[in-house]
Amino acid sequence: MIGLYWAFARISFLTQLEYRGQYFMRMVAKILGWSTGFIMLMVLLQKFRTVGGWSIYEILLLYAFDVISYSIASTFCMGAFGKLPRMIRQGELDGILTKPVNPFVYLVSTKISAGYTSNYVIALGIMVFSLKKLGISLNGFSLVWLILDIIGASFIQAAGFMVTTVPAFWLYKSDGLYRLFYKNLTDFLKYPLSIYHRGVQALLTFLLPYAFINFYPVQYFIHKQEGMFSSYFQYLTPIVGIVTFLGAYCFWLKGLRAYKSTGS
Amino acid sequence: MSFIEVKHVTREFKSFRRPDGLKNALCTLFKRDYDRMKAVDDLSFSIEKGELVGYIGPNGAGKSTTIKMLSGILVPSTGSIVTGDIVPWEQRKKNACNIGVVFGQRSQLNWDLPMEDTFELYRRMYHIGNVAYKRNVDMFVELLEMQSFLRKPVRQLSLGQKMRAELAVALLHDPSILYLDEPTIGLDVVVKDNIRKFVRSLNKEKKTTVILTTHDMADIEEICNRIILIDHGKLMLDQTIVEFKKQGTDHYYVEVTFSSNWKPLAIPGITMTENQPLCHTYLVDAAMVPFNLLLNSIPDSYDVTDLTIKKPEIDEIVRRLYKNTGSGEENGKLLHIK
Repeated sequence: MIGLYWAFARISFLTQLEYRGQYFMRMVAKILGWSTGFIMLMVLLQKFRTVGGWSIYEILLLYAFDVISYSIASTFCMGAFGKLPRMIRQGELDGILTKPVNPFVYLVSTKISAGYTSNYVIALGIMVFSLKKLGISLNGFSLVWLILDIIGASFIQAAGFMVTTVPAFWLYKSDGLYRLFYKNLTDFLKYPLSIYHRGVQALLTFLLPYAFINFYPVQYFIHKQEGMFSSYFQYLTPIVGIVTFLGAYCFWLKGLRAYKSTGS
Repeated sequence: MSFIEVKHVTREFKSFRRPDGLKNALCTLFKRDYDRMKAVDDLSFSIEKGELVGYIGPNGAGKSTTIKMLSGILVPSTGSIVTGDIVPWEQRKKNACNIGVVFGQRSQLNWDLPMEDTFELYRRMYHIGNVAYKRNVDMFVELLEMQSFLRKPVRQLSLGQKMRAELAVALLHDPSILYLDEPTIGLDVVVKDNIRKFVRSLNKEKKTTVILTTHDMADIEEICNRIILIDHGKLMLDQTIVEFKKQGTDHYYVEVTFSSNWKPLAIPGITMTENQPLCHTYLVDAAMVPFNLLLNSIPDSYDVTDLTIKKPEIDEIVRRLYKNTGSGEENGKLLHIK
């Protein structure tokens, strides 16, 4: 069965490479987009040196965690869930529901994206660079932990996409939700959580646990404790990732049952 | 129990009332009145294995909604559906292996892949054995005349080629039920004919049960042996094609082509429906006008060059039924002819 989904993903991937013009244009757009974010951050940090007690390279590490987990989640889920509201409105899910496949895995594997290569390069570059500048060397264990953190963070990002787009099953359009509860709130991740109001910290920790994407896991690597509700939080990213993702998956199943299709 | 059993199924949709004017539209942001619309209303029927059923009704009658419930895409609000021992929406995957679905208005094919590769993907998706796979591909390619476009990516195919490809793909796994939702929409005569013949021969060879929705009555005439008509989500009529066509036999048309005409045909029970130069068409009430009398009186009025007698086509019977159902409950009741 995995072989089948792999075959779908491969085709979707190869197809995107076939449209070469589109592929390179998207890449350039992404590089420009992320670099401007990066440059803004650098300018700001040149001026202030530290933000809330965090040095320039620590903040870059936050940025790298955010970009890399966003890119992984986007590779798999952005295509599927970004297009979900439109697919619901136009009844395109019909075809998927009449096939003997898991609709979620099918959707993910047929809409997998090849457009995030540049993001990986940029994010990994920034990550290695800032780890080096901070004098953090990764041994076997911490490397494995880093990877687990990144996987957990990607699950949280993916759950974020899902939870804010699945309501389209009832509302038909959910762009507003996506902007408000995903795009706007993950903007907070650019800077350390500790500089924000206590309410924002609680919101991003307990209600929409985006802080586990970068703030808490990074604290483990740079040995910082301030602004935490509990010192255990720095170890929780992989678990929070799996739990939120499972929650989002259940929500998706509920949405699927409420699917109304369209006339024709 | 029958192969497909639909019992008292109702499916409701909620839609909010859209008022006129910007001011009222702004009000709907806060307060909305909802209309509950029953797309399918207490519908029951059963279908045996191997039947070829034409499922017809005017636009918006609830045909597609029924097909979607049968194929497991939609869950009914109330009522039960069992297709071959399976409740479609509860065992969606298992059901998917038993059915083939073609939506005439929505493609299921990957636009960038040639058909050959799509076949291969479907072989893996449905776990089709090598022998059955090869036999089916060969059969479909031959019957649907697909040889010439097997290697072209789907986006380069014509509508007719695409529709044949859709059919082949939907049937690759030997489903026991085939749902066709307007499969001949927008196709030319040759392709339509090809598809109709294919469905018939498929039913003959594999005993596939076919449920077909269409607005083209020639599809029904050439494919189906039973007709189910619904309107406003309610069952209006459920008959074999033979019975259905009998409804037309109380009237027939006579088309007289002539070189000269000296007096009109005046027999009680005959009305002229078309008056063209050198060709008149009459509608004849079979009960009132003895056939012999008709034949004898035509030469009295015309110098006949050609004479055609036409029975009403399914098309016309259906048009009559639609017109009746359209004007409300009162007439609708007349239609329960079962």
